[in-house]
Amino acid sequence: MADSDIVRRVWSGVLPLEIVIDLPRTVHSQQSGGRVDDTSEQNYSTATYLFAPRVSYLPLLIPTLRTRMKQLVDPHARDLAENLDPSTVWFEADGGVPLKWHYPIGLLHDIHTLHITPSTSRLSPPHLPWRLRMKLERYPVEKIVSLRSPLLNPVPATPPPNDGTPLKFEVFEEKMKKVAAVVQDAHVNLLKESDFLRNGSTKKTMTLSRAELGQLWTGLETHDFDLFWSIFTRLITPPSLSSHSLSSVSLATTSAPSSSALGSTTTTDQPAPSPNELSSPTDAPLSPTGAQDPSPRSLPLSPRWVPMRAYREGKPVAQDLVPPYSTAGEVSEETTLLKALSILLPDSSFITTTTTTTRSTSTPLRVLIHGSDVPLEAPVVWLGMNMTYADGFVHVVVRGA
Amino acid sequence: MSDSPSAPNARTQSAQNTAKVVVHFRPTGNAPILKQNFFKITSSYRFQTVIDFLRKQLNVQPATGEVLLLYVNSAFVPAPDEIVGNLHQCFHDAKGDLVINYATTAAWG
Repeated sequence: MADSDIVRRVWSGVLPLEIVIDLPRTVHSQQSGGRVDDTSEQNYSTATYLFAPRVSYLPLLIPTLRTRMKQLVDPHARDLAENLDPSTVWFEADGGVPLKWHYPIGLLHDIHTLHITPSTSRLSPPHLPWRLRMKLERYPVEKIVSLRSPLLNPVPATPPPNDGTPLKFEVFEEKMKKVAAVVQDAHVNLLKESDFLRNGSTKKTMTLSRAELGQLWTGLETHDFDLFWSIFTRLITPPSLSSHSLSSVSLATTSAPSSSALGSTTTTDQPAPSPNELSSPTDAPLSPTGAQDPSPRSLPLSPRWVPMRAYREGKPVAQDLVPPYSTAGEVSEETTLLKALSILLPDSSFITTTTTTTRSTSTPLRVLIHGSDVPLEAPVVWLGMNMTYADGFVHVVVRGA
Repeated sequence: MSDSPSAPNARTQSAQNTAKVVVHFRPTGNAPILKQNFFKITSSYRFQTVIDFLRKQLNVQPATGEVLLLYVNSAFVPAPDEIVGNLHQCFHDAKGDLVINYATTAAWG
């Protein structure tokens, strides 16, 4: 089901970044030298360049960026790097938009470069490297989640004392460990959320051992495909037929009669799984047809729902129950990306215009996953296996809707 | 949730987004109980609104380091910026309520 080549390519995707580091002057006003005082009203900045994994998270870049700061000639920058508290670091896109650190870097790029249309930009696709600003102070707690235990103790962080003296000595590595734990916590909870959608419970995530969870995270931190995917594949592989409703599976066999592997002739006409089933994570009982089938693996695998989120500029994130298969009367077929978007974005105009093939040419529609244009005919089950982010969700960015 | 803070863009949202959903709070472990367990909340609000509301109801003071954890369906902790309507749509129970289990110590994972 999973196409290992595609999965590996998606995982390997990197994004060239130009990161402008804003170096605040105020903190180190005691720094000797007249020049510092002369320009004290204005921060100054320095740019650095790196490739960031699309599936990774911005705070995980902080150690690298700190190393770059330490290499700068300016003793002030080196001093800032030495005393850097990673929990105060945040990133900003062009136009002063604070970036959510719990979104994958690639998704952030796709969302925040949506407004750059070919007509307004010299370059198309959007200008690369993607230019970000790294900020060391004035963390916008109202706009982005704090990096100080947001999920375990979700309160707005109190701003650090601004007297330039660290409260207690703690080496950067220790502070960074805490920040990474906060990011990991957010990641694991997203994994659980997507697990719940796929399987009706978080059993798969919860039964991972501490070592396996650690391996998953190390794989993400170090961008190691084998380390991450050897665990992750278990989380996103759909349950077998016996564990949930037969309807979608049996309907799939009727829609794909040419596949000889689908030996079963079950054509039970059960209703599609309803949202209410989610409240009772216990497995649905086997129907008589399923019980008679001696080889469950001859039937196609399917998740309960495909975890998807859709993003449009200036609109709240859309998330809904996307069924792997859709039924229209007697006929059932794989849910396409277009169908999924019509569920996620019911108010969107492009759905109707696209389906009637009279799409307006003035606003080119783009549907991006991992920065790639994805055909609207793509089945969501396939996308859920091959194009999920590391949090288990298929994040779709839509322009022109 | 009459005393919850209003979302900045609430007025400009469409009618669909100003719809309300029912949230069902359930205590876990030694968490204090509420007199009233069911509340209506505007679906376009962020989950942070729910956290702030429950914190106020239970008088849990962040300043003193008191912990309050909110889980959906005893399963996961949503990010504070997730939209309540999305969570309700995807995870409501058979009665149509979004069940939120709250705890004063870590309960699930």
